[in-house]
Amino acid sequence: MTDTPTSGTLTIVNDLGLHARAAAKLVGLANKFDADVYLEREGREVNAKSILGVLMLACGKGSEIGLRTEGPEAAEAYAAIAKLIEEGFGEL
Amino acid sequence: MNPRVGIVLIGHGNTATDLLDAARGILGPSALDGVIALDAGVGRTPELSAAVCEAVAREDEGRGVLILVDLLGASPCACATQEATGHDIRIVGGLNLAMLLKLASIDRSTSTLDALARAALDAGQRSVVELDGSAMQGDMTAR
Repeated sequence: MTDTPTSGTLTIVNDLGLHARAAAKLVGLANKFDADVYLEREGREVNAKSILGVLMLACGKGSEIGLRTEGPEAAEAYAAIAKLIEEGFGEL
Repeated sequence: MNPRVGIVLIGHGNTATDLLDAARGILGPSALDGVIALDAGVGRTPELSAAVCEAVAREDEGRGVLILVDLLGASPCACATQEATGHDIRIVGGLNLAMLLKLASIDRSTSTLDALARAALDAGQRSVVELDGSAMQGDMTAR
């Protein structure tokens, strides 16, 4: 077992929020891992490998979202996606 | 390369090309590779009929062609119905960006025409929602 996190809460920091191209980046990254990836906002959880699911969360700047990963590469997926979100999808 | 299920988009004005460009602008230029967009302008013309006929023939690799039209019953749709005879086709109306984003995530060389048609319908229908009142204050969550 690893002690690397596979779930946690993150804040959307880029001005445009989790917009379509940002969502596409996140989904593209999530799909690279052998892991199930979920995003949650205000009680609604979606599959982070589906761009339409991610867009449905409608996260603006400052939104708090939960990230949860499961499976063989859960830790790697969590680390990579958390980094992408924390770095504002490369838009900061 | 395995044969793929084909996709043809037909819309009034320039909407088919614009929607395909928009989807590629979001997902990257290689998304929806090989999909053909036909701009119907303001109505049915002999040129459009010929273009639909040619596009469906080109997209048909033996596994069928999904035709997405913007407005059921309008000329582009009638054109698709009439010009696609002899091919295994499915026609879905209400072409929108959500449908294209969904279809882009599906491997058309392993999926089926039926599965693609269902995916397009499902994505399109789910994307037509009313936002709740707090949308005005910046919370865009759908009901």
